[in-house]
Amino acid sequence: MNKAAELFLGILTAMGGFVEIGELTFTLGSGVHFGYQLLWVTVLGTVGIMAYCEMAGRIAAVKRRPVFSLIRERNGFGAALLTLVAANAVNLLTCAAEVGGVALLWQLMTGWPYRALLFAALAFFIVVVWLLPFQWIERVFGLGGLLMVVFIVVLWTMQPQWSEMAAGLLPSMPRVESSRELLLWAYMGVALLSSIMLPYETYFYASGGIEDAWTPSDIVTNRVVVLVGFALGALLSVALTGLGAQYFGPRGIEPQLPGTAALAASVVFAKIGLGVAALGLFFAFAGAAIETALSAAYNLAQFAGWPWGKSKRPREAARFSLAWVVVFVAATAVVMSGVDPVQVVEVSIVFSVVVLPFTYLPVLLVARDKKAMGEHANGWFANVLGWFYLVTLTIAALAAIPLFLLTHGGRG
Amino acid sequence: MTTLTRRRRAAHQALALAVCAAVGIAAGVWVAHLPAGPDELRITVAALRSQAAELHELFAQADEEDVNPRFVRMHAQQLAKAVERERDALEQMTLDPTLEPTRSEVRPIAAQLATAVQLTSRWSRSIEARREPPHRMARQLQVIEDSLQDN
Repeated sequence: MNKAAELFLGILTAMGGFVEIGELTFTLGSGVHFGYQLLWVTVLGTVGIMAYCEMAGRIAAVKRRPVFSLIRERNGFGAALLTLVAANAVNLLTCAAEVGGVALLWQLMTGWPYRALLFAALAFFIVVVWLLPFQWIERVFGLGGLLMVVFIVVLWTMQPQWSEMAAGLLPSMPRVESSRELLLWAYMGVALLSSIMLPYETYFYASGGIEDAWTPSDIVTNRVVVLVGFALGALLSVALTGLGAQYFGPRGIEPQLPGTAALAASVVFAKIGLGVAALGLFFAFAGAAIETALSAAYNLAQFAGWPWGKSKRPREAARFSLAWVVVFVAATAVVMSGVDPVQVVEVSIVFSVVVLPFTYLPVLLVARDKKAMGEHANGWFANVLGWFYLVTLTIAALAAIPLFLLTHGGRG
Repeated sequence: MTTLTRRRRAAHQALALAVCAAVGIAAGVWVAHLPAGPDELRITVAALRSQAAELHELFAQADEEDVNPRFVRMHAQQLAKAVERERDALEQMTLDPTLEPTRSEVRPIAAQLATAVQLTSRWSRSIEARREPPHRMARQLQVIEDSLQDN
């Protein structure tokens, strides 16, 4: 297997986490409201998701065990069932938002009616996931998502305040004028951390490693894939925060639509910029939709002990195949009901933070277990990182819902 | 014996979950029916202000020919839905009576904005849509937003 091609698993996973439609509005919004003040949360979240995806990928390579099988084994049936329900609710809502996002983008490009495009998006996803092997899904959507780099170039062209940006990379006390702003700052910090460390990234990444038939010899590949993929995702996230601070904030715009984000590219590169940005957004949203639908099916199949995997024929993994089809259909039905896709995903991101400790604890327990992992068990550094993030995420999980309510759903 | 204990424990857990869910739903319904204060109104005004600013930016880019007419129309169509959602929220808000004059002040600006985005969604270079420049609407809404913030 070509090791370089494995990079696309990391890129696709990171794109699905860092630049899906909810993260897009969160990062742009954090730039609009607080400039570069919350950049350090992106750094914090990126190191965290790198640490846990590396552990999950390592476990997949050594033990060939996916995350949900570990959750059931270590948390017990009751807690695992609760995690499954919560995780798949997040997957479904996120998938719904991405399907809606794709339809909105297609509407901008074609001018066709939104509802008809929702059906077209549903058909597109079912055909693509049915026909394309897992490795081609990784390559097509990972490579296509790279078009998002246009946002980095746009920010570079706008000549941002580099010193302010660098200062934002380090944690600092918030510069706010009221208690309302302080609450919003705290809410955005928690929501950003949650959206970067979304649980489905780890489920998808570990299952992807097993789909790609990783063995212990792929442990170095796993590290490189995690580092490169998530570093790229973080860079895009930083660029979007920068565009919020440099471009949208001074104009008084709080972006809520995918087309608004694309306007930042057209102001620099005109129609070509607009086209590239819209295509990049399409691949990022579509990648996230596929990631969440497959992740929901992986979780269910791994929890129930069913045969699973895109590498198997649909007949050999019938319940798994049916599960991802059902997720796409249900997700389309959610957006068909007329709800705003962006609001759907904002709620799902906040509630996903509650699932995070339940997801990451079993991963950490297995990755540090020398009996289970032998020479590939965590070293001291991975253990310190693992426990640090577990404590941080537990605090974030406890604060998430009160902050959500106190800030009127993060609107101020 | 063990099965019975397990069943009893499962029943207790299910009951606890149901009670938590019921309390959560009741709290949500109660909060939703509380009269909205200046914060809730300010959030809606801020959203309308942002939409007016966005329409202004869309016009500016259309004038520079940085975006094509179809994009302008379709983006305005999506923006129109968002404006309608905020107008609905404004109307459905059970407001504290002292804030009624502010709502009355916002209403005509929101209506002008809705008309402007709807016209643009039909014709990207609508002169009628630009009769009241969106940046002026954004400025008016900003003043109202600031006054609500001081409340």
